Amino acid sequence: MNRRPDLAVALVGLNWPGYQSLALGYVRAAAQQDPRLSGKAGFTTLDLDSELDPWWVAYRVAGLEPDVAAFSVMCWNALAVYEACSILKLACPDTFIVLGGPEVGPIAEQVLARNPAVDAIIRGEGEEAFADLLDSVLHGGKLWRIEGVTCRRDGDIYSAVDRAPIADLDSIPSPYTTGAMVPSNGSAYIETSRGCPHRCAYCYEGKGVARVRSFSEARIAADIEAVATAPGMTNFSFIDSVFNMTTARLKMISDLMAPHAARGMKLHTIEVDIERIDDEQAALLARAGVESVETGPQTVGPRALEACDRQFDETRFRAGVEACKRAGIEVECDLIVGLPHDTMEDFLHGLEFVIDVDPGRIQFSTLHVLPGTTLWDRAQEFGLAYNPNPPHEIVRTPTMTFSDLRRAEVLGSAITAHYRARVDEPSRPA
Amino acid sequence: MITFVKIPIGTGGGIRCRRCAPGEQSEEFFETDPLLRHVGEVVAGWQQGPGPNIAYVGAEPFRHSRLPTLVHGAIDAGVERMCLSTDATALGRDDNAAGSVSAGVRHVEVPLLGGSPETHDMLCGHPGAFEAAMAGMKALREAGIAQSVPVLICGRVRVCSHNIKDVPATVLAFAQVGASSVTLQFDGSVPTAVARPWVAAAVETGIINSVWVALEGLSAASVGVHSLHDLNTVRIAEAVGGEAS
Repeated sequence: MNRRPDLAVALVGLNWPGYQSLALGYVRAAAQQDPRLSGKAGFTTLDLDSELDPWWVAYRVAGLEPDVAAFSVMCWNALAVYEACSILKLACPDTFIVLGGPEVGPIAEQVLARNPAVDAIIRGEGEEAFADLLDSVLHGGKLWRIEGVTCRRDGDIYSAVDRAPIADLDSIPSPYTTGAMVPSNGSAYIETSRGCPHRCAYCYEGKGVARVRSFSEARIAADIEAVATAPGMTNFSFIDSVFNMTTARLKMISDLMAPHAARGMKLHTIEVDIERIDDEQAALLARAGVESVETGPQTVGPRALEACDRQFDETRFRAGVEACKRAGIEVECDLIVGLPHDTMEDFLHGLEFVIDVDPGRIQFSTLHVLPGTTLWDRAQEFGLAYNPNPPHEIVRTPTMTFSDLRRAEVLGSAITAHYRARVDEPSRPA
Repeated sequence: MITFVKIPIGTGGGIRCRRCAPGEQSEEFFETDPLLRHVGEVVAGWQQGPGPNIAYVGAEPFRHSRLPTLVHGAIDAGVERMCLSTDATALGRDDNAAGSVSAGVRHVEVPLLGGSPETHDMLCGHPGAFEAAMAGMKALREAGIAQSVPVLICGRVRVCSHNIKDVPATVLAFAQVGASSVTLQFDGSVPTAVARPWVAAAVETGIINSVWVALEGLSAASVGVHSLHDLNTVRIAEAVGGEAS
């Protein structure tokens, strides 16, 4: 019979159906290898579908009788997480509930104020802070002193100082090579870098950290080997914000992937800067097994591009798409409706542009004003009215009314669906 | 925005209001070989954006004796998007829906004259046609889901004075079977002032149910709806250089 650990930890992800939380894999791997917790803490990861009723999420977590329940929170699962936490706290009052993720980190104090069931929030990267927090819970330490943690203290909400970004990414253990996560076909992701060279105002990836940090080639090779050789794997993806940052780096990853690609392993939905892609980069992508890439332009409206700190060169964009097509790579072009200064005409020009480019796939979405982004900070200045509750959809801008936005959503969705419905539409993971 | 070129496969098909145009219409079908030659010419000369895309129109495709040959031949010729203009009643029979999707049909354009059996069947003169069309469209959607491929239903309503008040309900009926868009086609027979409230209601019914409603033959501005509704998601255009015969 298994002995109950001194500290039973449940890590809970509410994911798109079939997916696992890579973030939880990272924090679990780091905590499992922490000598302070070794032999004392036991970990269980629950990767649940985001469509599961929060009542039953709480039921599944409560069944583990955890001392600590940790949830990964994104904009699209936040409401469900909050509700599940509320029920869980009523069911298991002694369970310590901690949240982390991009939805809650930048607004940690507000989230704690609005969700009395939540005990603490980890801001920013979680690997080191989560292990410190578990150690503190286990040994009765002072939570409020842990860098990067916001928690309750004597009836108040208190935020410790920020934790510096992890300087050496190789210092954090891999979720795959440690066995903290078992890669699943189609939905496994590898991370080779953190941060983004761009500073797009609607995205949090490039904000706050001055540079892009990379894992070493040896570490990337080990992760690729672990994922690509896992039983049943035929395809996976990389979660890097720009996969083709430099040709040299792309060549390195292409070299590592090539043997797996040669035996049929495919990479899907790789985020690229399409304007950097020439025939050389496209060939490297194809050699790595890339079958589909995802890119902008998000908008073609000049004022919105300027407000969002984005570059768009129509000629280079077209050239990048054409290079991918020549290499047999499907391109998914993304458009966002509701960016500051964009008008209905800009929206239509964007649709016309991506249809004319004929990339293979078009993805259309509505702006979400996310915590931690420049648009969140400057929403009032831009006149953006958005839903304060997650997922923070845009409601109105000075240049597009509520009605305009809803109309654009319906038209954009219909046109992209018509575009997608081809005789040869390939079936691949979303 | 996505253009399909019309390939008439016959004459005399389509749904029309019997109160506007009494009398029977007889269908005639064209031979397969010249049709496929026409398709080949369209494919070879395609210059209209993403494509080539074709729509078989003019007569009910499921009554054409060689529909499978027409579909397979078009796809073999390089057609990227294949649309059938059909009353949808045959899609609910046998395995027509699954077979169509399996063969490569991804778009259908379906006409309705009303949003209920009482209006549609009465106006088209075919009892049971409404329920059969609804069942056919549902079957097509389910076949697309079963085969994991996108299938798009485009509704079309030829609006006249006999069905103008039923246009919002017709849009709702299309929404209930998962249509992505509905075109309201006007021929000038309905005064703008009469059309105005019903078109507005139809457009709003579409927005609330995520169905795009486009206007043809009547400007959006004239009926007080957003000018965006002058825009259609697909354009079914005449072939350059004439039609097959």
